[in-house]
Amino acid sequence: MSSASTEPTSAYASADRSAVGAAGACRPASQDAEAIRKTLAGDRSAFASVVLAWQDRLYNVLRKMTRNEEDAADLTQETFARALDNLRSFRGESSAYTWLFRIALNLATSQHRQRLRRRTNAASQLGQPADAGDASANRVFDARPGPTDAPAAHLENAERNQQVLAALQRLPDDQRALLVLRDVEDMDYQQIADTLDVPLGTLKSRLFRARLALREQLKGYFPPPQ
Amino acid sequence: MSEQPNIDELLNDYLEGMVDPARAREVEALLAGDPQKRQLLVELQALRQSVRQLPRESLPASASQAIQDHLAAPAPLPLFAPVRLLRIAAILLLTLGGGLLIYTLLPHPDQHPQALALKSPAPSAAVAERRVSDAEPAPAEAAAPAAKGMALKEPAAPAGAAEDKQLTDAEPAPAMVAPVGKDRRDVGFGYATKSEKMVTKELPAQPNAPESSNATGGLRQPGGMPGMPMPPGMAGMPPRMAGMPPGAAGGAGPGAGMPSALPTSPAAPVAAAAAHPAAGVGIAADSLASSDKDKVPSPAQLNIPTTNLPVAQQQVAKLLLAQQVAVNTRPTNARQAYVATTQDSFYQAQNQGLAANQAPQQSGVQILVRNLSPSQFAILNSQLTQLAAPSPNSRGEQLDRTTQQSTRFSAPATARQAAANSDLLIILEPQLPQSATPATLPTNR
Repeated sequence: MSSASTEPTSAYASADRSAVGAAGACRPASQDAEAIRKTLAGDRSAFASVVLAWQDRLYNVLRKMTRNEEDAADLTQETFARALDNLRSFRGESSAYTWLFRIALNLATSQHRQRLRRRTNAASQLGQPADAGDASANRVFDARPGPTDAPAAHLENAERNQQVLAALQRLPDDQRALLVLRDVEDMDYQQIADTLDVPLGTLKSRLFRARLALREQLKGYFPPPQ
Repeated sequence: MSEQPNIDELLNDYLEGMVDPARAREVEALLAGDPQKRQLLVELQALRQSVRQLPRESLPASASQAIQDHLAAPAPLPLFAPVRLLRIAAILLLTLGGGLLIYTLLPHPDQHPQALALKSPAPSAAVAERRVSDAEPAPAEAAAPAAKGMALKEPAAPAGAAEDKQLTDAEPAPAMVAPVGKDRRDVGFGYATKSEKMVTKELPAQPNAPESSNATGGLRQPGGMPGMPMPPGMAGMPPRMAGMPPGAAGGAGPGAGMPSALPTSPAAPVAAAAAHPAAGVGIAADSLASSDKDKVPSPAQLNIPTTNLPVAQQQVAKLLLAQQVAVNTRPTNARQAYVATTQDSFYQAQNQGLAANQAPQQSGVQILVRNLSPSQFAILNSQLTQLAAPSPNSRGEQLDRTTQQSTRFSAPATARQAAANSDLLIILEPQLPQSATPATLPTNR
């Protein structure tokens, strides 16, 4: 078994990644710790550096989690507000980076559950299935190409992204979070384990099952087995 | 199945390029023998690539600015910060302290005598106390000079006339010289300051007179109101109450049979009479606080026809009882209030449950409060005693000193004087045993 720290050797390890998150990824954890210390000492402006370092990456992850710009922006603000309010509870055992993402994902999960509950209640009153109002999800599957279409052609256009995002939204929260943190945010296993508070030993199998679930959601886009 | 997690982890590691070359060759050998696994891995690689190639988005500038604004805002104090805790504690202390202060300052039922003492100004009318029932021990009977009443009843010396006038202008004194009967008929059972003012202005300067002569006020005739003929059969009526000394009711002249001590036992039945010749119920009008005076309906407000004076007297007396005595002291169980008038037969005919000849001749109104509980009796008795007691600081006494009439009034003399001139007689009667006969009003004075 390879460990999480094993250096990638496959072609996917060198996949072209966007540089958006590079600023945050390069930020030493000591800078966050120092900023938090100053903030706790009364200098709230020191927390601004933490915000600037992580706000875009948080927003990007939340954007994939919620698939809604306004919700993602609101959750990002709420994440920093919660972090600021609960700064004294940050013990420094993990990095501020994973701490912030944990707050953000918890907020996103809570919001998603609330909306599901609300939608279920409304649907039960109307006698409709709970996901009947998810127009975006229906739109994804309506646009699903036939088995004879070339998946590569769809994956190269913008619609492919929408379909992937929609498929992500249909995954359970924990699986979606795993895939987003791993493939979007490019966290290593330890960071994912810290963020989602799951055992490191089960993380790989969970991640693999999440990929299978996503594949199931996008089954028609891939060529049949030869 | 137990191999499945390992295969999953192995495939996942291979998918993510996190296997060493030896393990990679191992996986590729596995995939070569399993086309489905190979196809699955191809799909998963494409999926992962598609997810990784999702466009990255940056936080909108407006949201970023909102976060910066939030940081720039003053930090709210945490709930359990020491400063906030101190503030909360201070608010709680202030609230509790304020509540305690209000609770302390607010009058309580058991503080009514004191509250009444504060509300009641200097005694404004003479008060006589009488024994009502011979079944009870003989009470002490006493009264005090009313400041204003005495000032008027005891005519001021010429040297003090100006001061007397000043006093009466400042606080209208009970009228003594008006044609009472007519005045009463004109203004109803008037105790309004309006009538007092009117009569006071008509008050001529009176020469000094001995105190004994003041028992009749120099203005009243014993046994009747000045200027008003006694009803037939009323004069010289013998005392009705057994054990009551002749003249104890005040009608027989000054000092006749009046006990010399103020009543001290709440259990003793006490009758307190306040003199207010013209108004008849001036004790209430004078001793009411200004705010209470406003509540006392004026004769005009009552709009009582003169032909209904007896009824009006009853109503007014009951009002007085309610406002001045009953309400202030809350004797909620004051069962009855009888009004007896003796000014003429016109009044007598309206007595409630009392024969005309039972009413005192000189008293304009008598109020009999029956069936008082001991605590109610004590409260009322205390109040009336305070009203009757001479106040060393009362203006009336200052005036008396100026006029050299008398600087110190003895209680019996005051009582006699009050009894002789009283128009309002309040009789307090405690709860009686069932076998006891209710007290009757004194008749002969």
